[in-house]
Amino acid sequence: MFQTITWVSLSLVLTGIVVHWLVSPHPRLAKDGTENERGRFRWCFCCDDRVGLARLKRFGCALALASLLLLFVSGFAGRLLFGEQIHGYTLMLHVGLAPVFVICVGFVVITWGQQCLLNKNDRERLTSLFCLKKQEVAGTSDLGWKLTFWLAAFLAVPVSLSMVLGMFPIFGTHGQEMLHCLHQYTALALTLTVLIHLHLLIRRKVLYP
Amino acid sequence: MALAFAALVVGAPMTVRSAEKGKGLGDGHDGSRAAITHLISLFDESGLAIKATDKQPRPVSMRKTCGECHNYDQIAVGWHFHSGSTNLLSGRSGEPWVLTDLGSRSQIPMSNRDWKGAYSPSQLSVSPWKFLKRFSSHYPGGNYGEMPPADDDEDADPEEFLRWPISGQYEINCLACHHADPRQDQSGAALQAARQNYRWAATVASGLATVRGNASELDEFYDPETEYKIRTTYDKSRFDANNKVFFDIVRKPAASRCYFCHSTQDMDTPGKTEWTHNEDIHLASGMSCADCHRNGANHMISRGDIEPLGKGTSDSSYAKSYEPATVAALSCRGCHLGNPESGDPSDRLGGHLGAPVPAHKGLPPVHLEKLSCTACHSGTFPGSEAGRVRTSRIHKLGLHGRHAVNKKLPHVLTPVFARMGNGKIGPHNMFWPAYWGGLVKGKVTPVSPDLVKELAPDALGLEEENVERVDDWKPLSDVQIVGVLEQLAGEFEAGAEEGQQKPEPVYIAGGRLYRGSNGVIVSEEHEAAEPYKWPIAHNVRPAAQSLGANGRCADCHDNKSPFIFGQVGVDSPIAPEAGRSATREMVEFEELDRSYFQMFAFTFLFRPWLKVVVIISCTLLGMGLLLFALKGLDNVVKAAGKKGSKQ
Repeated sequence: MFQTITWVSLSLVLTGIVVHWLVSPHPRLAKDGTENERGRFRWCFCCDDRVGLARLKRFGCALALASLLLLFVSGFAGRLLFGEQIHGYTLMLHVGLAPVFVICVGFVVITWGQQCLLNKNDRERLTSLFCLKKQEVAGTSDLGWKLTFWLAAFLAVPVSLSMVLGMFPIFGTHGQEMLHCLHQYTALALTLTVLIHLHLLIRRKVLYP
Repeated sequence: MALAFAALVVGAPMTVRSAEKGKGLGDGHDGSRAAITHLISLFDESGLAIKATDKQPRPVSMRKTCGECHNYDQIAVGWHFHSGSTNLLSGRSGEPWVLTDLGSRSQIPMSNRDWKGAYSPSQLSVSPWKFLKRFSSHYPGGNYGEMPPADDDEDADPEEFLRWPISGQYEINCLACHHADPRQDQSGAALQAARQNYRWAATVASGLATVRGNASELDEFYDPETEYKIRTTYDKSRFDANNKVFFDIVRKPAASRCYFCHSTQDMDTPGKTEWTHNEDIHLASGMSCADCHRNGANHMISRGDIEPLGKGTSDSSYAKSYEPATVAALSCRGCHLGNPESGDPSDRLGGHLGAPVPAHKGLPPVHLEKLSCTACHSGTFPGSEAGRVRTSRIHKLGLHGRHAVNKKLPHVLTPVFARMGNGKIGPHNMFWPAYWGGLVKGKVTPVSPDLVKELAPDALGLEEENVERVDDWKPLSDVQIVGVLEQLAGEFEAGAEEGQQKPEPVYIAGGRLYRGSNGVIVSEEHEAAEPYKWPIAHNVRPAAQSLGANGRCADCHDNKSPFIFGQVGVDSPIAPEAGRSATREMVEFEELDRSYFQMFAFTFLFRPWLKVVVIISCTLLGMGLLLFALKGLDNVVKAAGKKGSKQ
């Protein structure tokens, strides 16, 4: 079941990303929003500032992404390709990387959170989305990557807690199975969210360098 | 009307009897839970009723007496009684009979069941008669006990033709299990068996009669029909006016009855402190063996090896005999967790006899897939080296008086955690086989210990010392091994048929195969030398004493954990070669990767740190998220406020 859901959701998201690139090559992008309020936004690999805290921030981001990639590969590869649960040395690697990832996510949220706050335009766009009204709002394209940033940060909490709580004598067999289930589905959601987040950021950078 | 009534009166019992076709009168069940009073007539093996006034009374025949109301032949195919028959069942490995011979330094697992590592009695030249002579002290009767050689059996020992009629057949001793009378004495039955008084064993054990005489001492031409050198004297007070005798028969035997053949003595506890031992937690809570090890009229006693969601058994006849859907509910998992595959709603829920559903808090479910329940819950608590036990059947425990023995061999090691037939790891009892044999095309066929002693008494040192008195391994030197192998080579040479490959004489002991090479002994590993092991499930320890209870991961995931890195002694009459360890590690039997588990155990040193780091990080992350969420909310409220003031 999980295997099928993973394949389907991964395919949908990747297809969606490709289609988005092809169908909507010139989206409206905010030129005033973030720049007007806090200066131009830069992600870890497109940051001009190469000194001090900025370098640390970039390193934190890169480490979080690298650990997420390894966690995804170690956690999903066996399951998706061979239908096997994670075990052996792969499990050891997976568990060993988990704290690195959680620490990095915490660091990223604290250091990048301020830049990912929704501005006025974002809020108006969000309101119009919730109200299902078609409304002309300037600078709408920042909303996507900001929302996915917060969603990813939020998902990192259940992903981590679902495993660490299983290490305490709190949950029984059924509880452990629930935790495991929660871990794998939230991990999938986290991965997909990060994929979308990266896509939106890269697209923004490529189209509007 | 009268005719109809007559037909009803005559037909009623006929209807009842026809409904019970194929069963004895006592095999049916009308639904009453009341105990059935067994005030019954006794019959001898000829089917003649035994009376209190008989001048030369004969012993009770179980086949004739119990068989009067119960289908003896159906019972005879039950698990305890069919081990020598051709339609025998195997299932998972169990405790074998062990053919021990101190003189030839042999201890050979023996069973007719298809259990890996065990040899059939016929392969070891053990006839039913010889089998009874060796093992009848702890034998339930039937099968080999009722297999005298056929008249046209040319291979049979002529002596056996003469001895069987004198000793009589060792019929199934129904009373050994079902007689609740405290006078029931299986040690008494064993004494009669030791005297080859097989015909009398059940009668004496029941406390119904005393017997004088010793069949083994009688002349081969003694006529049991006309001579009375073995005298049976019944306790006349047990007979009523109708020559009927009351037996306190119970459907469910007490645990003490099972214990005669199924006891285990922990050899690592000094005798003086044995009283401090706990018994199995199930018995302590008021249950008996037969609460789980149940059976129907066919006496196929459930063994607990057929589990819900299990892989099942490759022996289809075994599975068919046991009706897996039914007996799975009586396994550990079935009782405590339920059988989701069962059609019976109560079986699906489990909890039979109030069995608690285990929470297994903090135990990742993968453990339930890789380990049997017994791995954590059964046997003696594992130490750094596997301990030693003695068992009733192998070491003849429970014999009192003059025929009491104190056998030390084989050295049965426990608990040895090993891979079971179903792929899970569980605790086993184990011993290292030792025997002489012939090697042909990589396969070893054992040679009867009696033949070895006959061929090479000098090489074995039988003339110098009575090895039976040593009662433990008497060392075997390379010179002795060469001597015996030479004698065996001569025997193989003489017995070899034209066109057949001549076997190479070898000795198996301590997990190695020894062979002669230019007068020098060389050893190598061989499948035939692998230890014989069988899964154990008792005693079940209290939950608090289970491995890993209350989150004690280090019980197993520690680099000194007995479960994975425990040592198992290698037992042999041959001194270990220089540089070779006298122990083997548990991982070998568990078929686990040692280096992986060492590294995995190492990671557990950092497990507390991991927990702290992840929890602190998650807390900080959560607080950060909350902070930004509040900030966002603040912006929304401010924006809404501005909008309101503008309006």
